[in-house]
Amino acid sequence: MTNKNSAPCVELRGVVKKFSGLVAVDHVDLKVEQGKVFSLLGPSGCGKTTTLRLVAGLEMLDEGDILIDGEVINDVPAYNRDCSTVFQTLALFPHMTVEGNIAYGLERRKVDKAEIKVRIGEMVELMGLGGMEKRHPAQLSGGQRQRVALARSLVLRPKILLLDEPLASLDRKLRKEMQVELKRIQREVGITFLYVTHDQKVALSISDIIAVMANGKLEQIGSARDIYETPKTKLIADFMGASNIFPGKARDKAGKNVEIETESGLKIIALKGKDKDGNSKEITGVSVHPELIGISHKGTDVKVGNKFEGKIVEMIYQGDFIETKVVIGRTGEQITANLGSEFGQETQFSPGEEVVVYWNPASSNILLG
Amino acid sequence: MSSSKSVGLREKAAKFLSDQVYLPYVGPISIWILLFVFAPLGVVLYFSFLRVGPFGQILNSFTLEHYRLMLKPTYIQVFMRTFVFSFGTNIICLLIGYPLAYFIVRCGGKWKTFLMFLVIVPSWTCYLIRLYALKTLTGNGGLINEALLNLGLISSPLNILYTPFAVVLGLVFGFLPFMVLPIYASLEGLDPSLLEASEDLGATPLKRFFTVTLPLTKGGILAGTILVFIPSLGEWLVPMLLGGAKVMMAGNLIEEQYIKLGNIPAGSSIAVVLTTIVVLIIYLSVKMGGEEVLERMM
Repeated sequence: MTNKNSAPCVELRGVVKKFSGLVAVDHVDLKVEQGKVFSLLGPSGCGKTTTLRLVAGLEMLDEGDILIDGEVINDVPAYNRDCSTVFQTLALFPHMTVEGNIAYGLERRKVDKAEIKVRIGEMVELMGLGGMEKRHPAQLSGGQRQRVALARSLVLRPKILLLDEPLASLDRKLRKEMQVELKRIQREVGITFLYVTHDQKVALSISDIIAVMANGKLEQIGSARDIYETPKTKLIADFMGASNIFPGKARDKAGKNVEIETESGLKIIALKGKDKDGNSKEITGVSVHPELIGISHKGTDVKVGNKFEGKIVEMIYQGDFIETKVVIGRTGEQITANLGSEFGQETQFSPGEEVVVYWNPASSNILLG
Repeated sequence: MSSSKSVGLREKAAKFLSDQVYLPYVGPISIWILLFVFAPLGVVLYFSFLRVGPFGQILNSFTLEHYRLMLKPTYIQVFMRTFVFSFGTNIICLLIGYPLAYFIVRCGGKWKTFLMFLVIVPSWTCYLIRLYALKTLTGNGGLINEALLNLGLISSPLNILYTPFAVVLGLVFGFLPFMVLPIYASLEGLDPSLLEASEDLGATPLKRFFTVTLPLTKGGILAGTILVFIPSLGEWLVPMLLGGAKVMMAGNLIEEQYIKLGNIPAGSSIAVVLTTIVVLIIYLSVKMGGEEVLERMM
């Protein structure tokens, strides 16, 4: 470990990558701090994987600089970069045993045999792969293969570990387990992770910092909580699962609240404090996460800033909640609320019923242009 | 990749046999193999043990004299030559074929199919015509010699035709596509992410080739070897046209006995020996890890 703690582990400065004229990565600037899990989150085709491959050296950039530990590495070939990638397909060498796979990078770095043995031993223990050393990848389960791929990269003690949707091929239960496992391993070894994923749930649970990408550009960087609760744009809000997005214009900015009016005339109140950028950008709408919206029977006296009367049009059972769609009577907007089943709420309502939907102004998130 | 698959295959085969549901499936193919593979081989084997009468007629009495004939130094020499030539042909085909296939896969881009087409196209022409063309090219008054003479690079024509060089050239010329095709297929099937992983883990392009690309395309090389080495062993047309009487191969011995001397039992015994050697080589190469290759070929 070097003592350049002042420099970020990885830094991208105005990085541009084009594929036959099409811009895949468009002037991306970001800094990944030492020892953190940094996620690049975005829909497929947003340039997140290309960004990762640029850091790995598997693609060469067209403009800008990439720095690892404060040193520009633009022209350093992949095999000389101090980073290691866990591929989406895992890319384990099928003709080598687990041991052979883990030793591969060390052998290329000319680490001596005894040292390789010790380090493989450590990795096998860390990953819980004991007894599998002589097996070939084809003889392993999906989760075990995952661990081998991780071990193969981690054993090199790279400055940064690049992970390209490594959990995408696992089933839901295994994915959850591996998520926890990844976090544990990261804490234990203290290596910086750059994690690429399109799965917002994985990103939220694993990351210290999330950067949302769209169309090759960075849209927003922040903690998991920031990104989830206060997405800045309509696109991010949509991507983070805020199914209630209302484009509109700010009407009344006096006082501590902002009133935003949608095109159809629905007036939604939001807290001004949530508008972090001050008033530098124009307000273009409001988003609300469905789990923050409550439903009451018609006529109930609800003392909350935002309340609208409507009619339930659909109730979809989702297991841990009921996705309930309500159409606002006056303006025709559709609002989705997730009703938890813990209080037996779903039995109180039925489709077609007249209800009141409500949420706290603090739950309204202001979207900017 | 291979081991678990072959275990599965073996288990499946065992179940298949124990269920006895195989009869309708193996019935027709067994008859076909019996009629067209084992029956002719049986006839050849039978003839190889028969005595020949004073007028060349085949007598129905047992003898090993034809096999004894094969211990003659000239016969042994021809057999040795056959092996050296076939082996050499195989190595040369590999040395030309692998880089060629590699180049087409890596740099071919949208031209890949077209380039492979160019590799295959010559084999659509009659083999005999191609060999005569080669004969014309390499002969004393042929294109190569004429060109070299006119350029003043040589003062008298080079002796190419009727030399071991000409025979190996002819064999390589004829069999190269059969080496390129399986290697091309195995290179095409190579997962590109494995190459990236190798590079990412610190392998230089050269190291990457020897630790990942080559071991994973071993199957293609083995398949190519089976398709080049074994047919070369039995080749007779190339040595006949390009080697003349000076550079004979085992196939020519058989041809000589059958056609020129009309001695069917003697020719049969040489054929039996050659076939036995070929079967042995296939068996050994399968034993040595070609199982995966056979699976792929099937």
